Amino acid sequence: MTLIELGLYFALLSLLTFGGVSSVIPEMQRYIVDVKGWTTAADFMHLFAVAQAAPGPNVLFTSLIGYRVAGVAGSLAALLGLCVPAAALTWVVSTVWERFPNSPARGVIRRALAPLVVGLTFAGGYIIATPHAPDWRLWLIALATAAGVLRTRVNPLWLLAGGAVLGGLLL
Amino acid sequence: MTLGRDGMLLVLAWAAGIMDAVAYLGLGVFTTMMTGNTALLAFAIARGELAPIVRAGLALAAFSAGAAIGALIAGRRRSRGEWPSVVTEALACEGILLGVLTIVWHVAGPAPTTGVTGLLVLSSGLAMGVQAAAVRFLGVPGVSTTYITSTLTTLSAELVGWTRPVEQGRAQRIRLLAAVFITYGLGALVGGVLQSRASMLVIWLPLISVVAVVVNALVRYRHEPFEPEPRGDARSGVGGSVTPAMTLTPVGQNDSTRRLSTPPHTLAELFLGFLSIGARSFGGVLPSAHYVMVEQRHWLTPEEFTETIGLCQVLPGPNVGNAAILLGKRWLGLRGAVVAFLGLFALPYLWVLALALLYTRWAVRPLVSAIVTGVGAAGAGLFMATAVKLGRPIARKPAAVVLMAGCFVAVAIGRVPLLVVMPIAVIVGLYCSRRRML
Repeated sequence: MTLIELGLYFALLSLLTFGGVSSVIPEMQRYIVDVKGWTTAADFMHLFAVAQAAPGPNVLFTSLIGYRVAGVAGSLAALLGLCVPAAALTWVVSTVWERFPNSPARGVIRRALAPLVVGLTFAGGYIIATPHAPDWRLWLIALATAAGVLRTRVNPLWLLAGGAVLGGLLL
Repeated sequence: MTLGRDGMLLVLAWAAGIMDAVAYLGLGVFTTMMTGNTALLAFAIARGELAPIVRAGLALAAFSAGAAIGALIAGRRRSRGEWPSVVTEALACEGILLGVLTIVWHVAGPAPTTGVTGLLVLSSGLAMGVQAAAVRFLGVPGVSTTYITSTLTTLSAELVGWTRPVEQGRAQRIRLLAAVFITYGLGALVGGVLQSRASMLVIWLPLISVVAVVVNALVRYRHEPFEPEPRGDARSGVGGSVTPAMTLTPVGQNDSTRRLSTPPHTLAELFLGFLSIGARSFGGVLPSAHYVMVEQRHWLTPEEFTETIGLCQVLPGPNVGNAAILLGKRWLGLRGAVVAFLGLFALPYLWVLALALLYTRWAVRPLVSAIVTGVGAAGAGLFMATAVKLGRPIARKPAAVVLMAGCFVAVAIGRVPLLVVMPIAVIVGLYCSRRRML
């Protein structure tokens, strides 16, 4: 039953993932941790860290959540649940889209979505960096990493490694 | 910061040594030494025992099939350069097989059932066969990372040759042969020691080593031209002496063939392309997608790429996942969409699952937990940076700022379900956008 619930929940979420999976991370945490209690906030953050350390799209994070909740079958259910409805939509829209290449609707939609994606992505970062009560050490690591991305041209992997070192020293 | 060809050969020899130790001690067969398996098969037949006959026979068949697969992958194109990209692709295939082996073994535990043992013999034999064939295509005389008898034979012959006049490059060849031999032995030693302590950690080592070689090769030879066909310019006569850096030089603005895109023709080509995107996407998929599809394989022009990603960013779902669906469909229909999608996710999925298994095993240790928490906080920082980058161009518009802040507060502080927030925000956003407020 958990497996079906998991797949259906992620399928629903799939159609809300504008701008990539980062914008639904707060919602995932709310449901998985707060509502269902399938795992703890700290574990959610740890799984997020594991997903960051792997190559591939951010969406693989969902397969880790699924894995934690219902094993390998859960990981596939969550991943496919999150991908298939969006993929089906892409399939349909691309057919229509290629028929109207220069529609002004495209600009309107993109401008409408941009602020949402920014707000939700920032919320995702905030939620992950605040698993329990606010902790200045976690925020320090997060802000230092963000500054590293914005101010330098270092590969993000090095910044994650820096986070690992700081985590080992501070926490 | 990357290993050269010889360094990677040593890592592969190390992986093969561990694999042999683990397989011989844990499964009762060799995975790379087919002389030994043939002898084991013969002994088993002589004694009339069924189980060892099946095991050794399976190991022989799996290795042969793996070598055939490796030769098919690595022999698809004639490539120049010291490390052709087809070899990396074959090793990536080996990595997938080792990933299956590792996960199955890890889940089955130290005492697998007969059926599982067969599966393990099969996947390890396939993996080592692929590696043996791939290394052959490097064309290093006498060196084989899995066939140490050959390495030792060549080494001895070379050492005897020392009595004859000095030959260029011999000392270097001897060093490499000796190093391969010693590294294989060290791998087997480490594998044997860890196996005897019943440590499940040891089966991860070959996978990690091979994945490291694949990543290293992708990083080091990323500027290698994908199709080495002569383009009719002066470089084609230079042959193998072209340095990787030189080949990046644009062929010339008047060369119209570079501007046209040539979509993939077969499902296999599409799959391997997306497999490569997934494999090299450490720290972001978009750059690797751009590199593979635009610069390396010329499937898309830069304009077509921007156009496609632009559409995918408007749609819900993982951006590059949507791009895989869209492009696969455009090029090869429904099968293309499915194949591109599977290719993109296959390696990262195995990798992330393997990491999760490791994490679960080690999470109880406070230091590991602290380190992982640190990585999580840094990952949160990456998200914040992405938000800042995306938000900069629209930060001067009051309506945009209100929408951004509204979404953040509602979701992060108020913990309102996204199913409530999203429709409201989309409607408000579309309204403002139509009125030119965004």
